Amino acid sequence: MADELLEALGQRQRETDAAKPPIPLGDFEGEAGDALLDDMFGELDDKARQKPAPSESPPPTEASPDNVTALPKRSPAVWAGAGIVIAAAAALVLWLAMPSSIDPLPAYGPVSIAGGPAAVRGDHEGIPEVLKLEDPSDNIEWRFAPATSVEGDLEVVLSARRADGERVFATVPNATVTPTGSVQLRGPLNSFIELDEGHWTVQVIIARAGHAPGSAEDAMREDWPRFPIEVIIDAS
Amino acid sequence: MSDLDDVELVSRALAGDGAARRELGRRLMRAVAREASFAVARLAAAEGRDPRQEVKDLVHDVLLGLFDNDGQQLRRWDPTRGRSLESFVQLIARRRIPRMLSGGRGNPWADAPIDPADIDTADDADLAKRLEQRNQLDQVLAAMHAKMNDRDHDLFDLIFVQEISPDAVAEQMDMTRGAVNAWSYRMRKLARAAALGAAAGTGGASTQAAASGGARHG
Repeated sequence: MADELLEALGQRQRETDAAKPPIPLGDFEGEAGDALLDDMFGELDDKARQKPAPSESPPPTEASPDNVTALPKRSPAVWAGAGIVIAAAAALVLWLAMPSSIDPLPAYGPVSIAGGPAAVRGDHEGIPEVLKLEDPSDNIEWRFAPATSVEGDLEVVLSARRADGERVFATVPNATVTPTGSVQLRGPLNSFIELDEGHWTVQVIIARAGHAPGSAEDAMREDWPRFPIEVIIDAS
Repeated sequence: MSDLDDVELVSRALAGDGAARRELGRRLMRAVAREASFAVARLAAAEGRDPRQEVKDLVHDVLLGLFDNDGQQLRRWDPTRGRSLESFVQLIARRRIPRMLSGGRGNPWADAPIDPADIDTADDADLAKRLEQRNQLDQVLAAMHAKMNDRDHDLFDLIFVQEISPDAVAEQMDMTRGAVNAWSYRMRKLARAAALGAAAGTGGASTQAAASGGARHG
């Protein structure tokens, strides 16, 4: 049966959920637990006190002419599956909105947005905004580069909305991240996000690890930097 | 305590009510400690560390993350999505603890490059049997939890833990049956990648494509 591995993992999860914790939890009860909370809340309050007052140059949270940076030109990328070659370029989109304690990412821009047998060129120079796929398993190659080199772990999520309002959200653990922080999604679209037929707007969101939106609702609510790609899946 | 009471408790705690904050901290501490206990038990023996101290450190760090940034993580809890407060926090801990145990590298079992072709051709039944024999299912589960988002967790819980039929889950989650199938396909590949790594003795959970990424640098 195709899902025997997942079924075995589900059974193991049931066993774990029903089991007693292997390491006793006595350290979290009574005075010991209170001491741990005192320590944690004390650290939290210290951190809050150390935050700069609102008048002291708060970090930018929205795109503005001052914090939008142009990407350097990059070499053309060849998309073997679809035969699409897209030269790099793109004005940068948004400053990354991050909590003030997080080192903000530089702006990201698209280098290559390709997929399926045909791509329709959009407004951006050399970057199609609309991809037409015949099947959710068609290959895509989406590449994004930061304006400056990025250190540290990254997380990529996709938040998609179909024309009829259906929403799908997916983290992308199989995105490739280069040592300089460029991000590439290459392979079947449905290995990254499950979309049915229809006209979708897929928002690509790149964030520091642990600080990406965790759901479609979060992705909508928060002022996350994003790059929208129109994806039409139509087998006819 | 009802979900409505818990909504009120979270709201008061994050609005600065000290008593509510402490009560909430006590509630969540136990849920987080339970997750940390299982995670540390898998690793501590091999690394020769004091497991009780390790659990305490993890609980401290996870709780700090929950309350930090004006409780941004806790504010995501929505009881109408079917999870209790404790269950919601357990899932956050389940995702975050593997990252912490690996020193922020993503998760402790994510380093082995696996050929994508092996993932496509792997025999699930054989993998499951090998993992059971080696007591490595926990290792694969931890690697997967670190990679799954909230929706993945919900679907995995409903379909494979609670064993609710995919048709009923599709209706409950307001998804098409095709979308549930596509999700299962993606999870199958994720599980196979983690299982192949574990079965090979490396515990890897990333594909070759993801070896330089998997949403982390490489």
